[in-house]
Amino acid sequence: MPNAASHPEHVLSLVSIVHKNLEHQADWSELSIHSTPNLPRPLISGVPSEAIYIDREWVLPVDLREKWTVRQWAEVFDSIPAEPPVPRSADDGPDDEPGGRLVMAMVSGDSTVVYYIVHDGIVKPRQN
Amino acid sequence: MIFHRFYPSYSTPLTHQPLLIFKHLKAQVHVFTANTLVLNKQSISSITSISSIMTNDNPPGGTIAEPFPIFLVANRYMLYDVNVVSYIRRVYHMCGCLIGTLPQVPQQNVFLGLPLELMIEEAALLVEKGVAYIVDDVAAHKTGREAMLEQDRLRYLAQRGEDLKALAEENHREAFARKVAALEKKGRMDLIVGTQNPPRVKEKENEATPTPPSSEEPNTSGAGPELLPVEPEKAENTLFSQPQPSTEYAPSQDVTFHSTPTTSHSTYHFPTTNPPTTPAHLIPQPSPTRFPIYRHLHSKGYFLSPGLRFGAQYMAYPGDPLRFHSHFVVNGLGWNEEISVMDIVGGGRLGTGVKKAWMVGGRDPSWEVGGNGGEGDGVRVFSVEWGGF
Repeated sequence: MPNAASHPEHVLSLVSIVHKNLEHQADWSELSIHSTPNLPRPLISGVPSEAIYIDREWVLPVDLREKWTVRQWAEVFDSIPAEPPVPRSADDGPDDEPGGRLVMAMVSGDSTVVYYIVHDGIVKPRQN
Repeated sequence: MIFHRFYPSYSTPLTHQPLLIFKHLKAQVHVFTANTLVLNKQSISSITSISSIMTNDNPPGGTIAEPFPIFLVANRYMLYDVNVVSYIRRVYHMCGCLIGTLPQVPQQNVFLGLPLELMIEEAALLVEKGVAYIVDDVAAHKTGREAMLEQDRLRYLAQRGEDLKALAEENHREAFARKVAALEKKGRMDLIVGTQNPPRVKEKENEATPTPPSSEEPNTSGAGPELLPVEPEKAENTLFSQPQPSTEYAPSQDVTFHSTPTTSHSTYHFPTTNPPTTPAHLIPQPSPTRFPIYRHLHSKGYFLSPGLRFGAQYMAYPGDPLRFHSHFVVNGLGWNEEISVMDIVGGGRLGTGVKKAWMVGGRDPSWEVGGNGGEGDGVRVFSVEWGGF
């Protein structure tokens, strides 16, 4: 895990839980953890077992007890390229155009993890 | 305050008239007939069907002179003129809420009529665009009445009396016609009273009614009962060939009461300032956390309506709400306003459950025109859906 020391223990624990859940329960593949100084917290990228929109997805792990703000979402989206880079090139800067989409992973104290897709901007729901 | 919602007339001179609202209801029910009921060309706006409100072609009233007045009553922004209502829906993508209802059917909430209440965001944006101005309705009524000349007042009252009498007679005539139709359906034409005309046979109207052989040509004009002898065993089938009391409406002398019109004379509630402007203390002040996202989505062509039904601040429709389902349930937040992650889960799940996306957003206070944000308005929005796994 790159730059692991720059993040607090509980955040790393959160990332680990989501990583394991994606790998073993959601059956994602090619999982990779991205941790660069410009990212507010480590992100996970991977390929879902059934494609949601595109091949690779960003995953943002959060704890259910956390508070969240519009500013935090804006910061995360501004620091990631629209599509996650392939593994082993996780040090890409925020030079690609910001925006796009990520999967927010909410971790509960009872080991449940739920996933919600967050789009940057006005994006029509899939069902409508 | 609830009372005001349904009876704004209690705090305003613009009294609410049940009869007119009922006519408006009827116009709404005949959604696709595009019938126009011009009730009173002088003091009452023409009331048109909702179909011409919803469509873009042949709008009633065409273009409205701008700026038009928005009437402030008890902190609510009201529109009384259906032409303005349809105009802002067509041109400015604002629907407001029809809040007029019948005093005798206070619980009905499907076919509401005038007046239209605007959200404060709608009023604020219209004023901001310079296409509308706010009128303190109560104050304008008071000053308008005081400034009215006595002879103008008497002429106005006389004209209004005539208009209302005509309206009351029309209503009476329609009530009579309904009564005739109802009794005809029940086969109790003999119960019709209150007419001075001699009995005569009414022309057959209901084509769907089975016609007995003995009355093959029942709609021959002026066919008297002696031309159509009724056999006893067929009596029940010969409803429309029976001698009937007149269904002609006879003006009654007891049409003495009438209701107050929905709209009073313009001098009663229009300010005399020229050009009309909004006094500084009446400029709408919507919530600074909600208004930016409202204006942002509105600028993208969305129709926004109150979102309480989905536990949100707004619902965003990609087009007129009569033609589209909403795509988003929307919440405006401050840039640093904290929400619980649990609220994101709940919101995302709710939105997905009703085939919408749950949207949150806010305005970056550090954003400046032409500065770090470049083009736009500094508003960031995020659409949340359930991940599906």
